[in-house]
Amino acid sequence: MLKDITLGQYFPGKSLLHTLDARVKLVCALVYIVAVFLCFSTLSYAALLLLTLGLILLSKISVKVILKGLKPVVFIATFTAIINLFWVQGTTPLFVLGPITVYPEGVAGAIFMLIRIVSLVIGSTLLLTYTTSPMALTDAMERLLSPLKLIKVPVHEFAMMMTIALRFVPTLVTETDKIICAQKARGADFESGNLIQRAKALIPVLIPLFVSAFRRADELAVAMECRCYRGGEGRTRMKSLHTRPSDFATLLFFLGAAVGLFFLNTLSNALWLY
Amino acid sequence: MSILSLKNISYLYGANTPFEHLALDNVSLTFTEGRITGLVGHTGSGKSTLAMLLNGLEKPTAGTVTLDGTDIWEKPHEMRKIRAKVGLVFQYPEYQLFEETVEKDIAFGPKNMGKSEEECRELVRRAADFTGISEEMLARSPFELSGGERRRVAIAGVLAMNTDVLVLDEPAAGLDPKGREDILGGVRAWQREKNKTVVLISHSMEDMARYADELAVLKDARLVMHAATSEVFKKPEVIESAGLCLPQITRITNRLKAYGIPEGITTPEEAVSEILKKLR
Repeated sequence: MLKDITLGQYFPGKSLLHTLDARVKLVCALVYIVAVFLCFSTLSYAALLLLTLGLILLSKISVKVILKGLKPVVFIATFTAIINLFWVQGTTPLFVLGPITVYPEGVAGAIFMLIRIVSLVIGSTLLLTYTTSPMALTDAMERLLSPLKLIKVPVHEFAMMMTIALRFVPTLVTETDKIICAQKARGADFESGNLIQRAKALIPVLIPLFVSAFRRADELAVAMECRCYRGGEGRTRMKSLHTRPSDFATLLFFLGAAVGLFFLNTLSNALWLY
Repeated sequence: MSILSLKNISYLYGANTPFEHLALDNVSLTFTEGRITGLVGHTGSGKSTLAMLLNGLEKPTAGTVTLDGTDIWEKPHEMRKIRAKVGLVFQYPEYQLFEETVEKDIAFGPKNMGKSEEECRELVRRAADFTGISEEMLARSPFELSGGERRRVAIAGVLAMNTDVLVLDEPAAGLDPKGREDILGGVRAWQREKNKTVVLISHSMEDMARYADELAVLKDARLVMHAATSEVFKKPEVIESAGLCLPQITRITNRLKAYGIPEGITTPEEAVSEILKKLR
């Protein structure tokens, strides 16, 4: 079922990560993503794993839930690891299997790539969606992008679109699930047949889903206009974002960690592949 | 005919997440063949979850759902056979319509069951008759119809599958009294003529009094009572503890017990007949 996917879901809580300012978390997530791509050596990857583990512990979100969130990326992570295993060439072969030669550097590359993808997904989801509500996230984005208003970029409208889109993701997932169930109850078969047959079988799901999405969008637009929505101009806020010393400390920590990870590459044999 | 049973069914949503919620707790229930069983309970009592378990759309966390004595999850790859025997109409089914014409939409289920063109046409015609869909309406696009008409089309789509058991999850929700009567009356006519087993979920106790032969009362994920409708209505404390109200006519006649009017009257016709008996 689609609703079993936890990636992108918000889990309310009171952990340190939950209480951080959303703007800081957004910047930290960007720094973290850059840091992941600055790892090239065993030592830096080990430190990255420690950093990710620390984030998991700080978030107080169950490891099971986090692992469940990895489900959608299992294929891409495995595929990338396998490609690396056979693609990366070294000096002394580890073993030869017909036309395929595997080098120790290939094995290391595969493991590193796996760690990179898993850390990227876990770290960014922990900092962003798992511990930050969609509303706080879009609010933070609007604040961070607000200087762009000076060059007439419609930042508020962009943030409002993001808020609405994020707000309706679970609704659409539930709706899709419901329509799939309803069509299954009428004997529709989504599990068998070739690719074309399976794509065709989705028509009974897609048409009602689009109809319902447009209906909802229309109703929402009317409801917003009825409540005097006229864009961001003159609109006040109910909750203002406040940065505290712990937010600055976290930001400094992430910046330090990124620099630290980069310099760890020089302390051990780096695999400068990417 | 098929006998549908639940044995020690439990269902847990969002296991191992902060959203973990027990929707059904050790529910055992057998739906009597050829009868309409009403499933009542407050919002969140587990009615809709139970409906999804009945034709294998969800797998119970514990317990078994049996159809004619066989666990429906014994051969999960043959679930379509189960769904050809147990039909399910969801809440607001009009949102599942997608075909170009009403006729094609009603025929979607029979076609999935491998029925011939001739059989499909006959099944569509019969289902349209029961739900009051005219020949002219059959040729129209479902998206041109009113909400009530679309609801009738969606229900006809499941009636056309001619399943042994039909589960209806609040089929008349949001409709006016005439629309309710048209839909539920049509379902009852279909059930009586074909001697089918129907499971009817509704919040309206008036509808239950009118259409259900027996009632199963759910409260906080547990089954608290399963008996003939009139027997359940003799125990207002069970209905009220489940967050529901007795039908108005039952409340009035229950208060006339001291004057010799029997308890558990479910319809105005029955009440009139009992009161007239006493007056004569």
